[in-house]
Amino acid sequence: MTRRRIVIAGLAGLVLVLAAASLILGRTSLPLADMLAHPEDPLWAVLVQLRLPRTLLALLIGAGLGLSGAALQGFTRNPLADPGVLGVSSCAALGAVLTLSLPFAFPLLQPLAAMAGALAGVGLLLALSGGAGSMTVFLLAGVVLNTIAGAGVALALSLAPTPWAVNGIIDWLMGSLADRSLEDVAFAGPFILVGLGLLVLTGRALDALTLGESGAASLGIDLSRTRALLAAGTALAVGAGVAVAGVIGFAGLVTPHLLRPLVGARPSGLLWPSALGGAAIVLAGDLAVRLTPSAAEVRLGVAMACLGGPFFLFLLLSLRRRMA
Amino acid sequence: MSGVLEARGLTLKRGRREILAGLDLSLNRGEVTVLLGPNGAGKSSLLAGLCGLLRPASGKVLLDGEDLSALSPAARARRIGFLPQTPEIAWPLEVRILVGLGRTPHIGARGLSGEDARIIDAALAEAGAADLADRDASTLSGGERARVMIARVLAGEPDWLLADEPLAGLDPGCQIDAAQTLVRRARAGCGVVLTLHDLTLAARIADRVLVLAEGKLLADGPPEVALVPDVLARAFGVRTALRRGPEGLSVDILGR
Repeated sequence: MTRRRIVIAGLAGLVLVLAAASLILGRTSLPLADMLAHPEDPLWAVLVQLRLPRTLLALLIGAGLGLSGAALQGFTRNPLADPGVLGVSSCAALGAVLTLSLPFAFPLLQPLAAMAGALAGVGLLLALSGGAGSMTVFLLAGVVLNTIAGAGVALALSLAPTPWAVNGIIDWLMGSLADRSLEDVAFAGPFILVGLGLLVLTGRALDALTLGESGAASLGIDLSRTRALLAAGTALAVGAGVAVAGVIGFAGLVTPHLLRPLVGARPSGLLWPSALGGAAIVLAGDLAVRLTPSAAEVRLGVAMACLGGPFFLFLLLSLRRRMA
Repeated sequence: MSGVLEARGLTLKRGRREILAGLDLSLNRGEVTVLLGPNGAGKSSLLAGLCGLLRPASGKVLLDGEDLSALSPAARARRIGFLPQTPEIAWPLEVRILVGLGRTPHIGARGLSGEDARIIDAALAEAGAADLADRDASTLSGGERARVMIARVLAGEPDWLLADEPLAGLDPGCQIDAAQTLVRRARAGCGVVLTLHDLTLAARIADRVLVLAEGKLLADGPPEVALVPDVLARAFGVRTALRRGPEGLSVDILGR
């Protein structure tokens, strides 16, 4: 217990340091001491209008991805579960993309469609994995969702009415935190926070699920309530994130794995640390793409996929070794 | 009506297949009841029905006269502990944490208290698993695992303990240890209901034997009444002999 607290404190410290770095560092590094002496310095606009939303979104989206990854892994007893791998993020992107072909639009249409897409994805996934849901069925369901969402997005791309729409679609596919505004934070923040709150409520059920579904049910766990909390929480946390920043993969997969050796494998004990760890990973990833000297900034979603792909491979190899 | 678990006209289905039809049964606390029957006879389904995990297609299960389906899942779980066949352990948890999961229906939203910790230690000791408390549960042998899973269900301090094949796959020594743990709990007032395949073990530990075949009860009574050759021939299609030796009853299987 104390060890877990030390890790949580350490992660919180790491998140604070990374958040501070994210505010100060970038293509233009901010001379904070000078700025404090001159409140009317135009650089304050860079800090408040550009860096602050980016940092807050990285925090929120990272926490959402880390926590939903940990909760999905706990629920499915499957170390490969993650909103990206299982197609939840792609379904959210599909939801947002489909709104481009609608004849009408209103301000919250795209984000709401992204969350609806995520909810449909995670609902389908949990329905398919219920009962005799083995690891195989579950991962295949993820493959199916990713394929369907991918096909839908490809169709939307090929039917896109304008080059502007094509750019919009690509934005969702390759997530990025560049040029986001405080309005984006104000929109996505509450949804993500509610999602986090719902996911945290699943802790005790996830622990009991260590004993399998009938074991958990015999301990008085209401599995349909757990399934509903997980579906709604993931849809809100991941869907709202995708709505403002596009698809950012693998944070949900990687974070619980990195933390299990530190805080133990008990699913409820992994939830808060994974939220903090996910925030740290997305903050660090966003800092890395910002500070990499390249002509155009590499998109965060692409950078995370470059890191996450090999990690997934490594995980698969170690699983294979364990099963052999 | 205290201390009775009853099935009244209980019909259970898995999908569309009817497993048990209109079963009437009344079990008493303080007894070891052993369910016997060929594979597919519906033993596991009956256990699942009796502990409220499988909803009756018709009829009902009464716990001390109260309809089981009217109880909340947690209230039901506080009174009836269930050990599934081949219990899963999905994550490499410390044994003490795993056994602590047995307290789940009692603790609600709060964490484990000092009293819970004491009960967990007592359950570990009672199941002969105290020396395993700090081990990683994923590294346990079959026998160790069985002891830990029994400790897990004991930690819930249930009035009723239902276990599906808790002794399957254990060596003879481990079988006797595990069986004795369960019998002790029954003597302390718990209602213990087990499914078994070993007829002699059933004859030795059961106060009451239920023989189930093709969705019906073929026999219900003390071992010397229920384990007679005629019943076993109808249930399993084998010739047997029931003997009483100095160590108690035993069932010899003579052939088809």
